[in-house]
Amino acid sequence: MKDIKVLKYNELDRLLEGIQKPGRYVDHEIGVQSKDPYELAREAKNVLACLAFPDIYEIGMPNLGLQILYDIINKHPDCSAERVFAPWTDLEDRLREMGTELFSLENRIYLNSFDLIGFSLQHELSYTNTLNMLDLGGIEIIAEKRKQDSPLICAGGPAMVNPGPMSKFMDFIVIGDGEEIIIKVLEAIGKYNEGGKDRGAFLKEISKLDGIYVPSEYRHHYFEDGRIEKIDPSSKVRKAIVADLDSIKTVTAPIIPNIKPVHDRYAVEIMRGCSRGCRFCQAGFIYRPVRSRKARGLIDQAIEGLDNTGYDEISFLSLSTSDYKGLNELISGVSDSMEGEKLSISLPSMRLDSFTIETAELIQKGRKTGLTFAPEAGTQHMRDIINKNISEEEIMDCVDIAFSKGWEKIKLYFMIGFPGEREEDILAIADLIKRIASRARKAMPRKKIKRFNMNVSINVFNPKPFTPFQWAAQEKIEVLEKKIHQILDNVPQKYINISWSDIARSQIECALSRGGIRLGDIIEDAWKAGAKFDNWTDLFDRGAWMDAFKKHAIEIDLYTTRGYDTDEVLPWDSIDVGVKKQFLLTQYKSALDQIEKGNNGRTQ
Amino acid sequence: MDGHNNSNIEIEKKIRFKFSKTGQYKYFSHLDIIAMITKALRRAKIKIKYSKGYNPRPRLSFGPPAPLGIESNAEYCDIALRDIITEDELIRRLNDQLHKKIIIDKAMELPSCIKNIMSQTDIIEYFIYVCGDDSGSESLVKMAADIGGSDEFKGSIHDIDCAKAAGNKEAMILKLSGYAKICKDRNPKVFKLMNYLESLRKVFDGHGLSIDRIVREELYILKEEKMITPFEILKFYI
Repeated sequence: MKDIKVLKYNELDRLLEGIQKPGRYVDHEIGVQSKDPYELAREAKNVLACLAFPDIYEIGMPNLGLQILYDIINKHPDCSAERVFAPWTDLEDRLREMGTELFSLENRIYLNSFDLIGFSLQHELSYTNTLNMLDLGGIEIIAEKRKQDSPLICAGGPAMVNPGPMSKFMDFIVIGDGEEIIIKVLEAIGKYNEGGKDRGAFLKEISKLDGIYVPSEYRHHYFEDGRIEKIDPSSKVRKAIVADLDSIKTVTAPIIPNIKPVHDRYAVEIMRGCSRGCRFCQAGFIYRPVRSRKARGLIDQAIEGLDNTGYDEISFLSLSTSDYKGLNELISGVSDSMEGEKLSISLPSMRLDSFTIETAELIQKGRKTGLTFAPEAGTQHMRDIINKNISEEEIMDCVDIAFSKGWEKIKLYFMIGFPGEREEDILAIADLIKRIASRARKAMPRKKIKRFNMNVSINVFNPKPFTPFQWAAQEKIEVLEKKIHQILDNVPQKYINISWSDIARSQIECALSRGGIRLGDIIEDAWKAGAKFDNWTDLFDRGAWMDAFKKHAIEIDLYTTRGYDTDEVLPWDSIDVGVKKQFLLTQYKSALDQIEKGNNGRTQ
Repeated sequence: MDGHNNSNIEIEKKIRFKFSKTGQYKYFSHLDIIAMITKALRRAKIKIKYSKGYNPRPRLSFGPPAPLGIESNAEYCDIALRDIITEDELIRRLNDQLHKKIIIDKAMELPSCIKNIMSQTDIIEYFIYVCGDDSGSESLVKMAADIGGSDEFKGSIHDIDCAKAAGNKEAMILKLSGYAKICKDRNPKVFKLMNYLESLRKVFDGHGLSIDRIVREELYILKEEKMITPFEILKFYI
């Protein structure tokens, strides 16, 4: 029988005294499913897993992947899943001061007592928090130094499609859809437990599965200038894909957070993947192929979910929600079931060219949530380069529909720093913002005009693995700063709120997403120097990162402002996400052609 | 679907209910508890009234918030319903949907003219469970006198008293009732438990006693100088 160590309840009281939002660290929500760990530990084949999210409770809980995996694992008779989130700095200090290890929410099990800890990595800036949580759990952070009886540590999620930078810390990495592979992995862990825990043999066994990357099997060889010469072995790990989404029911009885999360609503995934092919968008490529759930089944499951949870808002998730064929059927099917109860419908990722008047009418029956659109660029020329195929006319039609149908708020996303971007493309963003604002105000009923409000978010282009722009360079910090100011200087502040991404942070994110195994040393040293919660403006510590690059004599520019050669070995070449490199290259070349066309046009 | 929603006659029934939040639920804030109860009402399919206006909100009104980290046997909520259901049914249906660390134990119909629970509450009573040695009981009595007489607490404490905890020979209870609002002729200060907790601890330490747990035990309304509960006050409205 395994030895399970837990934090006692009276110790929890002492630990949480004076801590902000102590509810982050206890469970007791409706929807908790974890099994009795002592009962489970009676048999070696049973697996006790911990789902770890490297950010605070409020940010982690709305993550649909977490809820899906929690549900799947706990429905398996031989397995139980608990949760752990990154403790905020006040609790971290308290834990370190009291010498108490990090524990799970449900049964307050110390991380070291689990068979498996799986991290959900949504973005690169959560890498240091992952190390921090392992360390707080009393777990050796370096994979190869871990002992036989240490928990197995793995990670998955979109920030793991390039597994290189976190390879040093992970026993294995899950690439692609987790729903089906998780069960195979847990069953293999059951056998590993029964067979006396031969770590090497276990990793060899699971590395045969699609979607499992075992870092210890790969070596990168470098040229003197830091580029990769070759990867050994050259074999690729194929992404795990759930072929039929409808074969897995959506989670209709999720955990309902007891503390207000960043998204306080019931979420269902209606479609996975996106066929649009915007050349900068990683999600658009790594989640392919496009798979939809059938509207009929979704209506029933959504109603069941709303009944089970009591939410008054539902979100239909996908990368391009307005492209979903049965959207109107789905919205009306769900709203009609509400028997007079109020329901807000939130549709993230609406496309400007497929948002229809019918959809607008259907959503506006409930409380109107904000509308978000992403024109991304200011000129048609730039939208052509990035393959965002929408016209200004379509944008304006959309604005007309929304504001005449009663919306008062809109959020727009733009991105700067794309390959081939000219000054006129930047100025055009400011112009477009102004034109959209004036068009919206014209379309609004007069008495509402005072309430008009527009949020604009300016992001910095980060070339991402597995996109046509993976070879492109990120622009220099100074240039990006100048561009942001050009936009700010040309947009009136009245009723338009502009926010923009922290450029220094984008630079680190870029290096982490385009780097290889070597970046592991940088992450480790940045963390040791205090880097954590890198995605939090107040806590981001650029100095810690730059010192780490310096210490290892690695130029950050190698991964950021350097364009990669199209025949260069890429750090993520060990992964096959299902999109051929040749296809990405063709797309990249047509972008370059368009850039050239634009430049020629100007010199004539 | 019932026809009530479409008719011009607005059905309304107001109910006051009392619940406890114990164990780990003490770690959830007042706002968290409001959200939990709002969702539980929807799960229980109990139809509540909404406020008018641009962003309609459910018509729920709660008593003064218990401090974060303090268990409570005396949380009150006034609710306006669009449904005619009995108080017992409300209790049953809502308890079915709540975690067992929140228990609704009493509910009564409210007359429509009554002030909400928040503005009614005059006094909040806390039970401070205390551990100490054999002589603890005497110390506690002495200590109660000390607290009652000290400048720091003067003007904010309505009453202070000691008792033996039922079923447990060792433990004693310091019953402390403090003012929830200022009343010019009576008390110049509001009793804020968390502000005084450090000082209270020091006094306890000085008497060789330690705090085991603190529970908010009851809310009171002053009626002709008598303390009556938010349910007892309803008699006066019949």
